[in-house]
Amino acid sequence: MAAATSHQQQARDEGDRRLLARVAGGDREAFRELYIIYHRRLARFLTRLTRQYEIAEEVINDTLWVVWRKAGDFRGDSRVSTWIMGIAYRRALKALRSRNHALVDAVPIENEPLVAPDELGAAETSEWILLAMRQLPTEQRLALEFAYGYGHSCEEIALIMDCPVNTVKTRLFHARAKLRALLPGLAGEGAGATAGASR
Amino acid sequence: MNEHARAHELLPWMVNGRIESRDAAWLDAHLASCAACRGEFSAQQRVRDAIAREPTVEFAPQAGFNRLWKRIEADAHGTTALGAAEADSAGAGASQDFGLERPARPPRARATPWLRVALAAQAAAIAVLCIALWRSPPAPSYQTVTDPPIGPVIAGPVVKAIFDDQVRVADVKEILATSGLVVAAGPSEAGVYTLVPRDAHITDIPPATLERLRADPRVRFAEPGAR
Repeated sequence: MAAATSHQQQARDEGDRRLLARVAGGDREAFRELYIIYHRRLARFLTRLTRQYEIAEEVINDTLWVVWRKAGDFRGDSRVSTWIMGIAYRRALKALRSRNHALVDAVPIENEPLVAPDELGAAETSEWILLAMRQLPTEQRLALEFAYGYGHSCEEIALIMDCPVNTVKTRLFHARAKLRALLPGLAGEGAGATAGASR
Repeated sequence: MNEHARAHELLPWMVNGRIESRDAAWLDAHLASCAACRGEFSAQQRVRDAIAREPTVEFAPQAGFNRLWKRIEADAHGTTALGAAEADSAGAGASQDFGLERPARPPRARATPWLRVALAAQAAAIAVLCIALWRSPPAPSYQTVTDPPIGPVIAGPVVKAIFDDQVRVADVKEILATSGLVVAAGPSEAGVYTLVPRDAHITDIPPATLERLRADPRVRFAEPGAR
């Protein structure tokens, strides 16, 4: 799931808003459509956040149940996805707390490189990056994922994670620093890529 | 903030397309003349691409929707007051209000007289049923062939796993053999298998076993699970 462009995200949000308005009117089919869309989006980060298939599935339904009940109260100050992801994030933390689970930080942070700079071949880059990401504290990993996996802005991530914008920046800063420490060759290849290539 | 620090802070938003146009113009100009920041830009593009390529777990959305819809209908037929209070406190009252804590709330309304009568009648019916249950003979300790099957009783650690749709039985056997696991239950409606150690004396799933399963492209999902 690549981060969509700003234009694509805007179009997606407009579609979400139309669906949500119908959901607010009690339209079951619109709710089913919204459910299917967000089930996929939520499953990804909830599975990673909770590491428990059952909890993730439960949180998805808790989240969308709240969406059904409160669709009419959505004021539209943020994107629909930001609103729903925020609910899911809080629900997941609550579910974990109620089961006495801590956030998953199973692997201690070690700043020893996982792989030597000259061994970071293109074919294995993604695998190494994902392995390194699993060593990040959960909040830092999620900040990266909200930014790159879901294409949220800094302000939206702050809303979802209920923290100041500067905290998001700090989490991203540390996450990136740790990834560089773990994968010294990360910036090696393609350093000459053009700046606007991904926009 | 110096130029490199500013560029460093802006790079994620350039990478995910959420940068402001004014900042993008500045960052483009900076990257054109700064090899170090270009390297970091390239690194962040790789991180974004890796996240995008990471396989997602496929749940069964329609089955999940059906379960949720039953819950919604149940709310509508009797537990509405509780459901409304829970949803209120679940925080969707405003787009910026994600507060999911549940502060104690007063009851929404006093019980009406007819409701009191209904509750009293319900309590009396429950009491009669309890007495009938207490006086009924105990269930037989044997199972006939027409009894519903009893589900497996699984003790000890388990792994919940989903195999790729294209995986053959021989592959599953090989995966299980190399992991020292056997199938205890499944697949569920969502295609989830419950795996347990072949050696019943093992009390924990070794992390290396989970890592091996997760690294296997034929396994789409593998996590320690509840029994």
